[in-house]
Amino acid sequence: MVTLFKLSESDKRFIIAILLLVVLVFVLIGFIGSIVVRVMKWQGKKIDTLCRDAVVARVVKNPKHFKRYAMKKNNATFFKESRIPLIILLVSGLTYLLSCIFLKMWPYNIFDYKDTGFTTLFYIWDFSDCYQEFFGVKLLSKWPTNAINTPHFSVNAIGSYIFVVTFLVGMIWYLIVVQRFIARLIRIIKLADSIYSKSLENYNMADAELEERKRSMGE
Amino acid sequence: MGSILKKFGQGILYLFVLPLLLVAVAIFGVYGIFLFIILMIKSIILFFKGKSLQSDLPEDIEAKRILYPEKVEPKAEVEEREPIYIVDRDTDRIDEDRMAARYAIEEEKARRAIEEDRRKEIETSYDEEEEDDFDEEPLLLDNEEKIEPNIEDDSEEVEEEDFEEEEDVESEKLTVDELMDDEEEEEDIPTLEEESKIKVDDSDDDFEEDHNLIYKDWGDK
Repeated sequence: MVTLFKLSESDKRFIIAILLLVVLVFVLIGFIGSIVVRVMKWQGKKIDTLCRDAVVARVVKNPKHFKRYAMKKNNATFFKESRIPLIILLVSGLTYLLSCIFLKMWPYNIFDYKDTGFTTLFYIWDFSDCYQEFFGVKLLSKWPTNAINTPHFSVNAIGSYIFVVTFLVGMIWYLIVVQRFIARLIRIIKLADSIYSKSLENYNMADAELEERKRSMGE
Repeated sequence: MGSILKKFGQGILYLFVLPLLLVAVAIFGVYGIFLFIILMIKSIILFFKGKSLQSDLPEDIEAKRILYPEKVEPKAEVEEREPIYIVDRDTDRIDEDRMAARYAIEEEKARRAIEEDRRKEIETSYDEEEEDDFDEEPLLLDNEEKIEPNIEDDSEEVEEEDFEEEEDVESEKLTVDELMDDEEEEEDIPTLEEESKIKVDDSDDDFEEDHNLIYKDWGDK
């Protein structure tokens, strides 16, 4: 038997460890995904509350009408929910604009670590000497030792601090609102199919007739 | 073990589908901004119409009318009044004419009560004004003379006179019975002697003087 390469015991353990790590990562992603799906199902239930009365009272009579009515409700809810995050985003935009005006910098660099950017609050490492060529590819070979910037507060960077914080909060909030909107939209499509469907699943004509006769005999 | 493998499979699926999901979220995000702008314009228009974007749709109103009729159409709070039933003894039926007359009397009583209250209010306010005027009299030193403007005095007099007239009118209105008695007293027929006296009274000195003056004027001419 020809063997191309021989694996030592330690190599085998290493490969098994890597495989387990990969499996664990994918399982973790699967868990996160299933949690997101569950959350979206829970978020979509909002449309049940919004449309329940009209459906139960049989005011909405067909799937097309239901979709139109539910979309109006969904849009109104989206408008109501997205007001605050969009205002926060607007505030962040205004902050950026005012920073540009006061510092007379067009454009105003929010990533500058020396004076005006929010990165003045972080360590900036020098990675220039940390790469080594490995089969023609530059790879990170060691942890950098030189820090270009140490955290410090800069007055000129106040605008960027406010901008970054408000932008992140507003954007994440807005994306969650969009996610809710999508969840409700999926729920509307599902409900439009399910509410007005007439199923013959588990229906047997003979059994039905038998039950009918039993009822008439009982009376 | 099976569930872990299932999650592992789902993980691979989500990892491959994730970019597409992110793109979808980004597209909906941009769509949401446009939707927000359109709905904001719509809400502004609705605001000036006195409505709101969150207000009930026609379907909701219809559904509420069907499911919760009491909430949609609450009973109107009508001021209830105890009815006065007058029954005709002969026919044992409600006499509508007499009932209407009774209601009219009740209304008249209420109207008179209101007028009486108003009159009292006017009287009390007048008394207060008088008291105020008395209080507002300026304190003078021994050497100073009290100067009273004639215009104000006249106006006060006029007001007083008007008020007296009003009082008279109201007294006429309110004491109809008394006036009726007075008229009966005045209806006494005068005798011939009294009539002659009245004629004599007509030939007053003043009257003659006036005539003489007229004659004098004519004589000059």
